[in-house]
Amino acid sequence: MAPTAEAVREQSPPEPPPPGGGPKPRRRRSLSTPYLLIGPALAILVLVLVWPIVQMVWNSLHDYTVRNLLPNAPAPEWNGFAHYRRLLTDPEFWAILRNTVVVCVLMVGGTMALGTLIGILLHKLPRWFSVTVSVGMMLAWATPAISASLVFRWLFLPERGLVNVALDGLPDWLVGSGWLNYNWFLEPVPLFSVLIAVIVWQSFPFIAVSVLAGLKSIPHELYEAVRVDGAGGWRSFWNVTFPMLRPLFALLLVLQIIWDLRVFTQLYILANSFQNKSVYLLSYYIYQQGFSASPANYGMGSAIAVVMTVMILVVTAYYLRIMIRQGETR
Amino acid sequence: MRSLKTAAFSTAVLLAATACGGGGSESGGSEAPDSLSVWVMGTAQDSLQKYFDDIEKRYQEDYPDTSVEVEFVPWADAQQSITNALAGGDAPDVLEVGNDQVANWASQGAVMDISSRTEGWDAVADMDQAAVEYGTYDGAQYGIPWFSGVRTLYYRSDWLDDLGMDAPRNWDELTEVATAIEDERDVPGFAAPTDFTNGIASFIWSNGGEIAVQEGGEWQGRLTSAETREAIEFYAGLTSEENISPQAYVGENELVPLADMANGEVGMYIDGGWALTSMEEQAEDPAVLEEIQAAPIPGADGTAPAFAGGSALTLFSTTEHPDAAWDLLTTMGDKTGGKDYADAGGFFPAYPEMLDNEEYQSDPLKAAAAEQMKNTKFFPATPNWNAADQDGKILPGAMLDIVKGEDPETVLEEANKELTETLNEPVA
Repeated sequence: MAPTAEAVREQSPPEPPPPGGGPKPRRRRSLSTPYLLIGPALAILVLVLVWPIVQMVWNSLHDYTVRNLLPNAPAPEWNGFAHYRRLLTDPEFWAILRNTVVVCVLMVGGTMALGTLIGILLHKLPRWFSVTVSVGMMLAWATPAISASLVFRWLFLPERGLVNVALDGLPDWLVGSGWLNYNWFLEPVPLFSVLIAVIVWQSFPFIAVSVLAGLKSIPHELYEAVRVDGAGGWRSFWNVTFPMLRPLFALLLVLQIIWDLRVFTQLYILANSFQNKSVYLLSYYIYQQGFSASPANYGMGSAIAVVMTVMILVVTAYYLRIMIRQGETR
Repeated sequence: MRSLKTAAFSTAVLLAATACGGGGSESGGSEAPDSLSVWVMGTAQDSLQKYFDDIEKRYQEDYPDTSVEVEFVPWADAQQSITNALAGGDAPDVLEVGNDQVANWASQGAVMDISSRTEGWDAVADMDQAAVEYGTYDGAQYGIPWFSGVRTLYYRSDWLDDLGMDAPRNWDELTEVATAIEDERDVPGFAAPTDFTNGIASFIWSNGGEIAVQEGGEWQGRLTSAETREAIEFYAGLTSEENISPQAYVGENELVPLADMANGEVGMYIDGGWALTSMEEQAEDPAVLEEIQAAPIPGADGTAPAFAGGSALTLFSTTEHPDAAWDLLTTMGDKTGGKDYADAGGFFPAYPEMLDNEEYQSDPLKAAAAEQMKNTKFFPATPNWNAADQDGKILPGAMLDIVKGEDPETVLEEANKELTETLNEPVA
């Protein structure tokens, strides 16, 4: 049971001194108690988060491969910043980084827009209908990433995919011809389009449900007021809904960016192995270098992972700054 | 009570192992171990399980208290499983690796130098010497050939009979037959998947081309030579120009055509004898399998050389019982064990003398492969070949780009540069 904000704000009665401990000055206890309480959580955080990150940075600065894993093997050798130097001068890496950012922006944009629209729709629908739609969404949300990716892959298969067959059946003046044999999984643009479709399809339900929850908390009078002022749906969204839900949107946006930067499974299924470097994303590149390369290059994989971690930390830091500035962390 | 005894015993074994382990000296594990584990590539099939039951029986004649545990590792996961085993995970004592991967794992320190043990084993003299040589790295023996396998051309004999045609023997006939099948049946005549180095290599070699050659200790990519380029363009053209092979196989390996072959969705494709079991599993109508026949791979003119596929048996470098593991390896790899496994898995034994046996000649499918076995070649024998092929996908990637319509000359120039660089990387 988390204490509600109300309960926290209420004056808690002074506690009786602990038995057998002798009288303690109250002020010192009130200083150290919060730290004592947060101590275990911090210790666990350091153990599961900070330590692996330290390890990762260490790996990225050494020549580290399979042979170093053997018992009584030589320790990995310090190589200065060779991995980073190679990365930053490699046009392939910059292309992958660019693709990662562009694809991530499109995924997040698509997910937020669709999720918000569906959230508003659910808010307006009659109750039974809203429940029906929600159940459908939950199913999409609950589908494991691998299953969803496989289904999308089948939809877009040359000659057999439903999408290819459907496009082929449409009149040529509308969509052009040659769709039946079109392979979606070879070039970055079509492949990333399918990838974005999978991701948006799987992640908009979360946004929709969160937005719906937020909408329910907005007093109805505000909408009455803007309607009296003659605002339509568009204006009332930007003048009431968005400002009221700004913290919620900020949180959802950051979560979505972090999730979409890390996309791996869906790409693994759609790109079908590592033969095509033009469709890599950062997460995929990390895996390829660190696990699938022959011999595995743990140093290089870690170096790319460090780059990605920094990107995610920047996004998170920016979000925290906004939150603290707005004083909305309460 | 028994658990206590076992615990005491295993502690004793552990003590014995730690006492004389370390430094990789060959004195470790003179004790008979409780169990030895073998990792085999592929998926568990009944025939293979039975093979290992028999091996265990034979092995226990010498080691009555040792059980043989077998684990099947899918080919695609081999790299990761072996890496995990090295990182301190669950590790095998005896390991099967693809014959083109021995040098790579040897250079990584994953498998043991078995030169001295091999010298004392007579059976090696009767094995295919080229395959034995392929199991060496840096002048030392690391792998022993276990079985060999070649790919052949599978075709639908009933469809060809209807057309009054024979299996194609060269590229012109391949195009002709494939086109005829498509006209008659409205299914693709031949499959040319792009992620298929083993198949593409046959086309290159048959045209007098090479993937790479070694000159004075330096590897040189040969993808830009006229012969190689012609072969690659021919293969790519099967998809992009002739429309013989469908777009569905672009970016795919041979497993997709395999499923289609089993279901009458393609007329001809290239694969090995081991594919038949998979086809049986995937065929909706088993009658189709009766109609599938094999022929040697058609080349530019006449039969094309095939990659001398196969696997090698190795001792894993972390094994605590190298002596017992070696005895298990020889049980699996001798004439009985080698032949039984080949028969169970749809391969050929590593002993050339057996290829003339009646059983390999009377079955037409096997006869075609046995014929093909006489015309084989190997990939560049360097630890870096895996980095170039399985990891870098240099040749499949180039094929993919050419099929997509990029300029072959530019693509191959680029790929050749990458190939030469990769093959000459110092082995870290």
